[in-house]
Formats: sequence, structure tokens, C-alpha cells
Amino acid sequence: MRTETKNVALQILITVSMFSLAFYTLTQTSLYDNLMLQLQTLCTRTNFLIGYESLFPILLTILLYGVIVLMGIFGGKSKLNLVYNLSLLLYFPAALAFSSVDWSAVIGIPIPLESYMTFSQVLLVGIALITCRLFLNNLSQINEKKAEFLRRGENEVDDIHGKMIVCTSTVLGLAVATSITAMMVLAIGEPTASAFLATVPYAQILFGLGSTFTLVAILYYYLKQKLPMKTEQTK
Amino acid sequence: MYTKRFLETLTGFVAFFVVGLVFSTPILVYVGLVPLLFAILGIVANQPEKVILERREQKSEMHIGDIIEVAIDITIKDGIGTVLVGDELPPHFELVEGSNFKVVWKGFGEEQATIKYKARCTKRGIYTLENINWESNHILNFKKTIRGKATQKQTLIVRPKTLDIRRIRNLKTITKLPIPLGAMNRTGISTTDFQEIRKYTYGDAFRSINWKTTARMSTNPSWEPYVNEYEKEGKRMVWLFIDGSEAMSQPGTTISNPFEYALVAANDLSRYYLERGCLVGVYLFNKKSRLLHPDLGRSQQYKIAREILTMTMDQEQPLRRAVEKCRSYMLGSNPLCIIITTLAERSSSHELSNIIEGVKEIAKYSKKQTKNSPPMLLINVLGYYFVANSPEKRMTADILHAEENTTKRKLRRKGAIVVDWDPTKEKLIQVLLKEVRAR
Repeated sequence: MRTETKNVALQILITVSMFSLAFYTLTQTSLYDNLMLQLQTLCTRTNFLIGYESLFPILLTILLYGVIVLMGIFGGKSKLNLVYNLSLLLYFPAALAFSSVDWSAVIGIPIPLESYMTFSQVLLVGIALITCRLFLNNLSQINEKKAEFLRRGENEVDDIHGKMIVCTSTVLGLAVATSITAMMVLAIGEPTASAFLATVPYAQILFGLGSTFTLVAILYYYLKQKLPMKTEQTK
Repeated sequence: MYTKRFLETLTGFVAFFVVGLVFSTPILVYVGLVPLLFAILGIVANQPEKVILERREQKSEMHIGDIIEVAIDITIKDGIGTVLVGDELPPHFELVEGSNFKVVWKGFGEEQATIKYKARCTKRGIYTLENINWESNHILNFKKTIRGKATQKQTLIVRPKTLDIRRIRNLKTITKLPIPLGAMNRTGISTTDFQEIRKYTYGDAFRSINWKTTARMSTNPSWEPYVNEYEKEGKRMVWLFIDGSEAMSQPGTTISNPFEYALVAANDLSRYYLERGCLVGVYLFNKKSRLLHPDLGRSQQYKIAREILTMTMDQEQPLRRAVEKCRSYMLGSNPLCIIITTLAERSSSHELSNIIEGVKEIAKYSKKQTKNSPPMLLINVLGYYFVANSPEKRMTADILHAEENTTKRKLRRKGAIVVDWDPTKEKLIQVLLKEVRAR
């Protein structure tokens, strides 16, 4: 298989996976259930598609996948962004379900916003979404670079292209691993940290930090103004 | 220093963080950590900055059409990312093999690579291989590209091709052209270079009689002794008038045009005559005219070769003016004058009449030595064939060159031998030998 075909296949796979994950997260919320319920009620009232209510989830799925296929065809250069934004939109209710504020009550919707997935599951989906987004962005940039090298006369670029992908993936992997580790550490150490944070004198710390920052800024500005003058004198 | 891409990644973090705070959703704040850490790790990895480029030694002199092999050693000491190296080729160099551009991947540790390519020199001149450019890209494109230049100066002298003009050794040949045997000087000390066998004339030394030939020819009713003739030393003078007007640039390309071939012919003819002890003078006639005084020997050959490398075309100067400028050298020396020009693409009759007038002027200073020894030679470079790459186009070129016949007739009437030279088809020596007849 040619490298270009592999790249396109990889991009499509990641995009579809990203979208599917986001859509699955949406289906695991009370908002989705209510949406289906509302649709069924609407059909009953209008006598439209009565008896086909069970097909609504399938129809919605086909509709959404149809939208991303259309985006892929007509989206031009920003098609990845469009799919990513749509995925975030689908993911957002699940994330909002873990908010400390009851947004459904705030907005005035009589339906409570809940997710059937756990906090960690929703978090991992979110991380997966952003990781896919960053990877796709970098992959398209690497592909552009490869095309540029070819245009400028270098023919043996497949090896370099592969190494660039590996290197980018490594950095991204490290970033994801560090984030997850940080979250785990935070989750484990939260009780101890909370007890410690309760004793911290925030006012003093804020004042101290502010003063230090101001002093450093003044010193930096002073040195920046002074140094070139000194150089001129020596000349 | 940082690129738009880096700022976009940071914006991703800020967006998640702000939305997370506004909606009091810790998940979004945590998710925002991924782009933040990605950005931080990205800028920690620096792109290569220490790129050492060294050009390997190569030959400094060559001829047109020769292939030069260039090798550049690349050493990258720090950073991670791609380094693009490109060697600047001088104009008129054609890439034959390999590429003068290379992309090198720099991972961990020192990276070494070599650029190797072959290029053909298509035009005479003095060229300089100088700048090797490099660009270093950040692995995630978070930092701006660093550009550098290594200056490794190397001068290349590209000389015109030699046409291998040889002297004809066969005694039983005569020629109408002054190239193989002509341009004789009747005075001066004889050298050991045998020139010809001729009939005895009053005043010839007895020791120069060739007794064997005389005996062989004794059956002839009009019997006369035959003597050996040796070439005379020194004082024979040859003047090469090279047309440097802009009309010489057409037809053809910047690489292959009548002017370039005129210079090739001038270089070889001067070498030929200098090797035979003639005084050779060169005059490039155009607005920026160049005169090389007649001189002898290797130093003159070197001077001519060097001058030819830097000769360029300019506005027209009449040939007559050029001859007038050289008059002081030509008077009394009975020189052989060779004019190298093209009669094609002379848009006005004025330009053609300039050449005819010039030929008339030369005729004043050059006397015919014998019946078959002409005072001047005009080499007409047939330019239309440079662009004729199919049989049909060659036929068209034939027709276009046939239009020059009237001018050629006029020139012949003035005493010049006009030789048509199609460099795409034959060598100059082949053209000159066409005029050689068996005795």
C-alpha cells in the first residue's frame, strides 16, 4: 500500500473513531434519552412515522455520520476542524453532567443532566478527543512538509516522514501520559492536599507573589534599558 | 520566535481551561492539560542550530560539457528535527545526476550525511560555487525556521571546448583555405617544420633542392628542380575578428548561440596558429570592444583563453571601425584575417553592409600571396540549426540560411572566403577540410 493511501486511511480511521467516541458519550447521557422521547412525542402528535420509533436512534446515527461524510467531502481544508468541533459539541453534555453547577436548572430545562458513564470514563474520552485532534493536526502538517520536500527535489522522504510521525507521536504520548499521571496523583492526593490547602494563608501568598512579580518586572525593565547603553559606552 | 501553531495549541489549553472554569467542569480543565503539556514538551525540544557544511575539493578547470562532481559533508550536532540543505548552483549549470537539495533527519546524537550530485557546465566562464544554504525546522513546527548559509568559495573555470584542429601532414594536398597551409610569411628564418615541395625559383639555395623528387619528375618535358620549403619563424600574423554584437545571440538559446560557438572557434584557431609560431591578435568588435595585441607563444594563448571566458555581447560596432583600430598592427605585416560572425538574423541591410565594408577595409591591408591564397576568411556560424530539432525545422533553417547567399556572394567578390559552419552537425575542422583538394 502506498504511503499516501496509508496516511489517508489513518486520518479517516482516527476521525471516525473520534466522532464515534463523542457520539457514544452523548448516547450515555439523559439528554439523549430525553431527545428520543421528545421525538417520539412529536411523532405521536403529528401522526408521522408512528410504529417506527425504535428506528430513531439508527436514523440519528445515520444522520450524524452522513453529516461528517458531507463535511469530509465538502469541508475543504477545515474539514478536520469541523468534525472535531462537532465531536466536542456531542461530548459537551457528558462533561457538563459532572459540573458542580446544575446547568439544566440554571437554564430552566426541567430535565436533569446526567451521564451513565463514570467521571474517569468521560475524562478519558475527553483526553482521547484532544489527543486525536492534536495528532491529526500534526499529521496534516507533516504531510504538508513531505509534499514540500518532494516539490523541492528530495525524493527519499518516506523514511523522514515516518520518523517525523514517530517523533510527534512520542511527544504527544508523553504529554498524555504526564496529564493522566498528574490527574491520578491529584485524585489520590486530593484529601491530603485539601487539608493542607485549608491551612494556606492565601492573602499573604497572593500579596507576596504580586510584590515579587512586580519587583522582577521592574528589575528586568531596568536591566533591559541599561544594557545597550553600557555597550555603546564601551564602543 | 514561536509560530502560530504553538499559539494555537496554547489557545486550545486556554479554551478548555476557561470553559471548564466558567461551567465549573473539572473534566474540561483536566482535558486542557494535554495541549498545555504538548506545547511545553514541544518547545523543550530545540531544532538543530549547529549545522556544519564542508564542500569537498574538486577540479577547478574544465571544458564546456564536462561533468563536475560535487560532494558536501553535513554534520549536525544538536537539536531534533529536519534540516534542509541546498547548494546554490551557478547559472548555466545543468543537474545531471543526484540532487543539490537534501533533507536530513536529525534524531538523538550527532548526525552526518553527504550531498552528492553531478552537474554539467553548459557555458564558458568563470563561476563560483559559494553558498550552501540550510534550513532547520522544529519537529512540531512550534518555533520559526532557522536559516543559515555556509560560504565555501570554490572557483570553477569553464573553458570552451577544443575542436582539435590538426595540421594536415599529407603532402599531396592543396587547399583554398588558409587554415592548414596558408598564411605563410615569405621572409624570416626557416624553421625545421616542413611546409611543402615547390618548384625551384631563382634565389633558392642549392641545399634546399629535393634531389629525389627532382629525379622522379625528370621525365616531365618542362623539367625543373624541386625544393623543400620550410616554415618561417615568427612574423606571420593572424587577426581574429570576433563579432560581439547582440545579433550574435540569435538564433539560439543563452547556452547555445552563434556567439558561444564563435568564441569556441576563436579559441581553437588562436591555439592552432600560436602553436605554429604565428603572432595572433584578437579583436571583439562591439560597443565594449576588446583588443588583444598580437603576440606569440603560450602566454598569449593563456591571455586569449582568459579573455574569451569573460567576453560578452553588446551593441554593434561596425567591423570597419574595428579594422581601423587595428590598422597600426596590420600595416606591412600582410596578416591573415579571420572574421567570425553570423549572417543570420541581420535585420537590416545596414548591419550586413557593415560587415561588407569591414571586409573591404581588411582587403586594403592583406595582399593575396598566391592565386589560391586568400587574404581573409569569414566563418559564418549557421544559427538557425540551433533551434531546428526536427527534419521539418531543419528544412526551414536551410531556407532561411539560403537567404544569406546574396551577402555571401558580395563578400566573396570582395576577396573573402566564406565558410558556413553548422556546429550542431559538424566540427569546425570538418568544415575547413571540405576545401582541401587532392593535388
